[in-house]
Amino acid sequence: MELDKKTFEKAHEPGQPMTITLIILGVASIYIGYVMKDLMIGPGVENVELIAKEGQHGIESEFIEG
Amino acid sequence: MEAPTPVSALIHAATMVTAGVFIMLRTSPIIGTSEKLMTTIAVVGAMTAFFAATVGLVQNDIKKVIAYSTCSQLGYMVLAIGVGANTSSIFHLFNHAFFKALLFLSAGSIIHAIADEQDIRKMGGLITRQPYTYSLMLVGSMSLMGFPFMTGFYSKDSIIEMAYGSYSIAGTFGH
Repeated sequence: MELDKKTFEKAHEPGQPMTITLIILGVASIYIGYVMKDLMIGPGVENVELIAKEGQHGIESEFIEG
Repeated sequence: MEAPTPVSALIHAATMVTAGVFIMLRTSPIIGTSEKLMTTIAVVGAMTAFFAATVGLVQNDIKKVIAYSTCSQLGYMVLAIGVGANTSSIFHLFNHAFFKALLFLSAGSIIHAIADEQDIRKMGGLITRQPYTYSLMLVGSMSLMGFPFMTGFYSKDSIIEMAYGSYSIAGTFGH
């Protein structure tokens, strides 16, 4: 069922290009939600009717009881 | 599953998800005119999210597990469209692309390192061999499951709140 010892011993980190890619995606996976929150689902700005309307719905859902 | 791992990363993170959910977002003015259609979409989305996650639990192939979690996240996005939270849906789509690409590429790194073995039952102890890949896979998984203050949390929490805050039967069902 398990891997044989030789295969396990030979297991290695990917090369540098792959590692860099993974690290970029990893940092993005942690921070992009916080960074983009206001831009994507923020309350919007005044006088932009559509965004403001959807924002109201969201504000209500934040403070709902129960 | 049948495709090479980088291709899976592309189609699951960006292309396949974008195609279906994005066309529903673009047609949301049409969808939004029908109350019944919105309800149907929300219910189907919520059930997809639950069902795909359940199926993913019993898979043995590392790539299949990740692929089913994509289906589950798709369900969340469709639920968000069904309750009229289009911004939350596209936000989740955007965030999902990042952590799902990370998960697939990490899985590819693992599969390649242990001689193209995809069965998760045969893996274990790989932190000693691949510490970076292990850590990044952990980051991706935490983000995917919506661990507070990571990427997935902000969008998933928003979708769940919006579902409950829509005051509809379908929304509460989804919640």
